[in-house]
Amino acid sequence: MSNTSENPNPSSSSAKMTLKTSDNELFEVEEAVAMKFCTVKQYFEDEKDSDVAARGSTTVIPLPNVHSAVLTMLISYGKKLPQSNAVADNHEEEETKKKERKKYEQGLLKNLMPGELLDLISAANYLDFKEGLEFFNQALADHIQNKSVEYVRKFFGIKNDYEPHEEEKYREEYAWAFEGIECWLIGELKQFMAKTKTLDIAGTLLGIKPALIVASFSVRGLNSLDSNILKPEMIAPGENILAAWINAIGPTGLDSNT
Amino acid sequence: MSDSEKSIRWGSLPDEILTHIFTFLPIKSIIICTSVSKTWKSLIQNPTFIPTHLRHSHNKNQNLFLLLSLSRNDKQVYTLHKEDDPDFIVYTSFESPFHAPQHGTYNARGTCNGLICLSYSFPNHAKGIILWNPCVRKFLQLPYPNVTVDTHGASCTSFGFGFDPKTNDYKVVRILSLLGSPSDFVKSRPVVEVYSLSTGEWRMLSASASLPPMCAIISSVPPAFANGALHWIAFTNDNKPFALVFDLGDEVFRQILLPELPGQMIWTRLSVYGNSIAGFQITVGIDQMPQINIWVMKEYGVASSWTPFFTADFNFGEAFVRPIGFRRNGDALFVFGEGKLVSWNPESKEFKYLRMIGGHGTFIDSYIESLVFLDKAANVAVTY
Repeated sequence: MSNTSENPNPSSSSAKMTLKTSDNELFEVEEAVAMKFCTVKQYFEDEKDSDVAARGSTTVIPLPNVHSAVLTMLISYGKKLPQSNAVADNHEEEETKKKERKKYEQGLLKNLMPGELLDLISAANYLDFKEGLEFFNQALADHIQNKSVEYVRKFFGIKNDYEPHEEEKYREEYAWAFEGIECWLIGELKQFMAKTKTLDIAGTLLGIKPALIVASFSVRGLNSLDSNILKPEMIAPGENILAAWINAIGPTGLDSNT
Repeated sequence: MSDSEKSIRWGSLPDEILTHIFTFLPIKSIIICTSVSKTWKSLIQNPTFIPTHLRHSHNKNQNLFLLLSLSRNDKQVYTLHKEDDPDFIVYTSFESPFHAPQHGTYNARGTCNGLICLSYSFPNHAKGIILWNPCVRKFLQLPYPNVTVDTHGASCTSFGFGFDPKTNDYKVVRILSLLGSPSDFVKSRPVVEVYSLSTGEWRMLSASASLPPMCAIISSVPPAFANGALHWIAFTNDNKPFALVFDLGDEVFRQILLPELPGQMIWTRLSVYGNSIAGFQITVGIDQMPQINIWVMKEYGVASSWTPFFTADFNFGEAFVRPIGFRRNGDALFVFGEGKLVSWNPESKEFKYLRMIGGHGTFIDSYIESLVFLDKAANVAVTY
């Protein structure tokens, strides 16, 4: 985690503020960006009023509800927004910045897990970061739009407090709104909510006891056409495999299978 | 953190965040959310969320336009178009659920905040005034008004519809110009009744302060709703036209003078133009092609600020030309011939073809999607 803000123009006189997160990380942030967090702005202004000498000294603003991982993302997003103290750009520069911001937004959303989005929304709400809230709430709305009631309930963990007959009556009344809505199976939902898993190559293992045995029915030895080809080239488990087949007929066609 | 723990945290989001998220959703999804739980339903179907959603709709700048399209199988279809879309394609469409008896039709009289005010085509037919929100598929049938053919005799009826932010109320205004003889056309003041959604009743305007002047409105063209007031073209007894203004908040009548020009002028209607109004007018001269003129009032209410905006011969190039309104960007909208919708840019002075629309009863108005009426119980506003 970086504690230094990236200042592209070190010679500028932009003031910095120090923010302290819930996990005791310190962030030095340009004032223009930090002021977008209205909670911080309010704190700063209150401090200014109470202590004249406070300006310029190292006032550390505590953010006990915000974790450093979340603050990093919020600061990065804040930097991409139009700055109030920035010199007015010409049209071309403005367009470039807009495109950069769009690209950043798309990248941010692509890799975002639902849990992280929740953290960002909660933190943006606590910090009163209006542009951030606008963006993240829109992202969440985009995610739940056109999803079924069951999906939305599961996603938010909301208990259905409708009586069955009430719900049925309601759905009948607004039947047109329920047409064509995506129906997500709970399994798909669980998969979406779970973390991704990766398979790593374990590498070559030596000295395993007992050694794996090639099944009797698998081919082994030299190829009959070309003795330079050794078989098998690759092996995998072939016995006692759990697989599915239709009920009508088993895999071997026999009356029973083991 | 386990899935169930995470779920609990989502549920702990404050209501303001939830409602903020809802404002970003399309209307179908918002209705789905009302079905998620009773708590969510009360968050959405309440009188504070609906105006919040409306404000958000306004700010979204979607710039939608509502058109009455070609009827399919005798059913009216209203289509919505994104104004900024170069091809003006259909964004969504609403099929009118209303069956008009006796071979009449339901005509749209005005839109406001997503509601469409419809009235049955025989204006003296007291039945069939409806307020409809096609976005949530709910409508309200207004009660029988007080002034009818039976009570007051034959008249020219005009309807106006709008929203009064001071009282947070939707109002429908019915103005009836009682007909006299051809020589004594305006024999009395028009009779006015106002329906207010909050009371659910029609009310006659009788207090002397709020009565209209001696005049007649002879066209059933909808009035322009601008600056919280309805604007009609009315005529004095000496056949002089002026703009009759009814403020929905104060419920009083005012007058705005129209520009006077040589030649015989026929003012056809008034239209909304930004924060002000515009007038469409045909000038008939001797030995001269009739001219279509559009005038705009640059400064609302200031009669000297009437400025010519457009002028052309009556049938320049096309069979029959009719101005019908303006786009939000200030372009004028015309219908050419049988139903070609065309827009005209005042700077480039160029015409741009938008699309074909129905020839009959061309209704066009700017529109925004809203949830108005969603909080009304089923026995008040009908769902279909």
